[in-house]
Amino acid sequence: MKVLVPVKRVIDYNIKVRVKADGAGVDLANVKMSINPFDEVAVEEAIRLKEAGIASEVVVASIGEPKAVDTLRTALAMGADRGIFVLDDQGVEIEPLAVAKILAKIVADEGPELVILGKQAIDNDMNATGQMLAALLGWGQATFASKLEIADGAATVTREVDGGLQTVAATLPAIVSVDLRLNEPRFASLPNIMKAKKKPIAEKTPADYGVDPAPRLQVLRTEEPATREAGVILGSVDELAAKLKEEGLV
Amino acid sequence: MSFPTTARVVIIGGGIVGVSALYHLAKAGWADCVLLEKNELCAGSTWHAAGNCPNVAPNYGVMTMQRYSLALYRGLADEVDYPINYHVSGAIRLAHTQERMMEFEHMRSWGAGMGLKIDMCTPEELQAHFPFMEIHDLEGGLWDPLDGDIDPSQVTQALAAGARQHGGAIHRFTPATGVSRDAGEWIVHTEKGDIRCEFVVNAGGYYAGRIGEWFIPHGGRPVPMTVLSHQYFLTEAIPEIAAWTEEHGRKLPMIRDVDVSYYLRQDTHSLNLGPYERNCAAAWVEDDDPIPEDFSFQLFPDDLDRLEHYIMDAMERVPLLGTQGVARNINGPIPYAPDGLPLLGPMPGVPNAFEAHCFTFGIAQGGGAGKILAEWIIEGRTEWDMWSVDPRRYTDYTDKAYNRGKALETYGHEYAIHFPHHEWPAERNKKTSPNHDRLIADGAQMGAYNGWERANWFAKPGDDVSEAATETWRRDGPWAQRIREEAHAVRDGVGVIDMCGFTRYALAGPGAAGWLRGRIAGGLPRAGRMNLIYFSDVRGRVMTEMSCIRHGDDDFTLMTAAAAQWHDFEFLKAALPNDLALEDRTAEITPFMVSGPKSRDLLSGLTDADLSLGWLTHQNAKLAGVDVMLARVSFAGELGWEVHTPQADAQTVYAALRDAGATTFGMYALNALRIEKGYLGWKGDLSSDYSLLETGLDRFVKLDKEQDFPGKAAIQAEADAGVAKRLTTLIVDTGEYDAPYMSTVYAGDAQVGQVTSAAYGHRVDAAIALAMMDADAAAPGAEVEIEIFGARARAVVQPKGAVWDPKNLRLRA
Repeated sequence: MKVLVPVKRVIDYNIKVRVKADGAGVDLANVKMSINPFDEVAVEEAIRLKEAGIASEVVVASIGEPKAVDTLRTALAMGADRGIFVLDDQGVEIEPLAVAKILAKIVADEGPELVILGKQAIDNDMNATGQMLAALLGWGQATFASKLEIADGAATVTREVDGGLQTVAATLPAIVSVDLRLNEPRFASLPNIMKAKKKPIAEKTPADYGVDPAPRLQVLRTEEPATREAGVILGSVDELAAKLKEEGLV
Repeated sequence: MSFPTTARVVIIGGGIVGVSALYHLAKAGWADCVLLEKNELCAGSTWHAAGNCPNVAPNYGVMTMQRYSLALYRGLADEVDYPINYHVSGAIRLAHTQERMMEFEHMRSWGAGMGLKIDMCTPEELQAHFPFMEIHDLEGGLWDPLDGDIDPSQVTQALAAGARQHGGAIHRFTPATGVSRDAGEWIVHTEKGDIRCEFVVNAGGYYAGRIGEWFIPHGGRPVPMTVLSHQYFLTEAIPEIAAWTEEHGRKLPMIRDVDVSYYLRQDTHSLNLGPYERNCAAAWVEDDDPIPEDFSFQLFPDDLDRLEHYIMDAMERVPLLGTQGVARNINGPIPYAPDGLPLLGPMPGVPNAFEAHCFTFGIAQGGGAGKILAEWIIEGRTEWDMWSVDPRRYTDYTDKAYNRGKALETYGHEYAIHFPHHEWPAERNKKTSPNHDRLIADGAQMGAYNGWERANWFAKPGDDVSEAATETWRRDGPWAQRIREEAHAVRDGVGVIDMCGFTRYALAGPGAAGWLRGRIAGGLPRAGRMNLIYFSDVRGRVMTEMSCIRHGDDDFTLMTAAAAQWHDFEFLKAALPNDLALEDRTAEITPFMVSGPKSRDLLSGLTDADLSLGWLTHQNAKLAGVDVMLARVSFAGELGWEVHTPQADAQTVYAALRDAGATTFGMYALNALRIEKGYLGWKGDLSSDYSLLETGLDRFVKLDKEQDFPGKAAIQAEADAGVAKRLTTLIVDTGEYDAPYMSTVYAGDAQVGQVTSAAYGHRVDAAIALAMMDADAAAPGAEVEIEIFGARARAVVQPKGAVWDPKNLRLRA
């Protein structure tokens, strides 16, 4: 069974996000970027399926600017077998529908039985690509997986939902979007990082798949959250009570 | 805490250096000081620093500073009651070559001179310190038991706690937005209001360049710095290391593989690898890539590819490194001055402003830097000579290309050996003599002196002039025979050297002579004559030396070393009365030194000057049809004149001197010649670590003159008590190597001195060293030993005065 894992390059989760001075978006110049943490979980799960003898090959795919190929190398260093890199150099962020369309073509080319991907990317929190891909392919989908079992031609997925856990089964081929609690991704060792440089990455463009990546949404403005006002340190409970009264809070 | 409107000192920047400065100021009783931090403390480069804490440094001033920091940190947690993770794990440095072993021997020796116990190791001893290491290709190494690592944020917070305990104020999330000057005071502007203060400190880390721009309208210059990116990464926990630590109750020592260029350190139970790669990267240097308004707690993108060569090497050294995953890569901004040393001290051109930034080993140096900065502010001087980090060592030649090119060169060679005949090649020819092309055509091998290119030696066809040939500690090399020939030409005939960039000031105005007499330790020459003058501080220590040429009652030319250009100008300017004019004329005049017994014969054919005028006279004259000033003096110690020539005529005069038969000689020969005369080098022999009397400058001190001068009382007291140390000339029984700076002098097992400079004297045919010796070990004829790269060389103390022409008969001929 071949597994396809789409991965996205995003601003590192440790980094404080800065909005550009002109409000035209987030400042990404010279900022640390990483693989989307949800996608990292997806890669880990696919590699574990291969290590368990369930998957035969793990193919990772990414779409984005030239540097996004680094994200594929991260996945290859973890243990994925090969990569597909779709260069999208248009300078604006590609939207989930265009991504899903390209992924649908990749699925058609590669013929995986399972697509595992992060439930959302931490930069724009769209939570849409997996669902759109399932719709385009007409495949079953199981989202927000915190547990995944493959057996007898079906994926059994435990999902995190409001109020508890829900278990669903999807007949393969299927789309599974993953949550952070599914697994704890490994760190690549130095020898594996070096080996990953020699693993094959096919280079493509959206045009190769007949997809127009131009955005359909318009970003009106980007703003930072309002700055929190500085607090004051009070010496006693009485002072606190007095202060709360003074502010009209009690 | 209400926001202050006044303070004595405002420090801009809350990294370890700014906080340490506040701590030291507050501890010294200057409680009315304020630190402004744009974000949270440590938000710049401090938070992502690796926290390595070495004692050893290849630079004396820096080593002094680091040694102080480490001693401070060992007691700081208890002093301020703020716990700090500080692991004194020790560290080993690895040597792959004999030349590196020699560098280590020298570091061990000067460490011993500072009271540090640092040991040489065999490869097997290195492996005993770090059992997981391959050693088959090593020559040996160096073990420093006091090396280690400290948590950068904790040590900064501990210093902040100490500063607050002593009354210092820290305002976080308070960006300074600019400075202005009013009635002789600074006003520092912030988003929360203005603070009026006496002193201001730029401790802005990688933002120091931006902050420095605020001072340009007040006389400042663009800060000579570049931001580079330094990466290190941490592995996951390694079970074998965890087990070793469990068994031994401590961490493994740090490894610095200096020939490959990386450090490797245990971090909890993982490893931390930090290379200094050749193909390093600068950030925020292009116009289309400006430094962001705020980069607090941010990092650059990972770029492990850049480190591949170093990673592969380190994995072969310590195979455990590759057994676990890479958990975290840190690629952060780090500010570099062109030479990679801090900019710490007075801000050039700006009153009551100081710089304290460009720390590339900021955690190890921060403690000492705070002490030094506090001394600059409170006392106006420092306990130790800190010229090697003084911001004034960089003058007006440091453009953007220089700053960047040199920073990249320095970073890529962070651990490289600095050999005595090696010149770093990046960003050269910033300032050249009008005769530059002719010098090159004559085979000149150039060196940079305050940005000016001067000939070090002149190669002949077939000489190996490669950079590789200079990578040796040996005195011998392609230059050796040429230096000897040049020195002998000066001894037997006549030589000429183009001393472009020799610093030159004009001082004039009513009362100039009286003012100078109140500043210098000795006397002034009469009009028409010249002599050396020395300046001391209140401790009687050597501040600087100048040649003083007196044209009229109150009209002087003062000359000093090329490197001293801004330092000495500011030193004079600081105390200068308003009605005196002091101007820097360095770029207007090229001085040629024409020296040798045949110099009178040679000059007589070229000039109408009166060449019978005695030693230490000067006169204006025509030479080769050009108006020049002739000064009868010779730093080479022979009959000779300096020919001070307007820049526009420098080619004409040089051509005339050469065509008349003067042999070219270079700075290496000049150094060999001057040491035979006991003439002193600026910031080698002449250091504020030593007093005028210790430096043997008694004849330039007039304690009976009527004027007071800085240090007069201290020098009087020292003269009464007798000096404890004395700069001494030694003839050294050394074959292949001259004693490097700060080599230790022994009498038996006792340390009795340190070498300040050394060279081979080709006129006396002997190796010479100048050393600051304990006075009671410096009796003429006394036999001592100098430790030169680990071997003891016999040395004999010479009588006071020069070993060549002690009665100055040749000078006066």
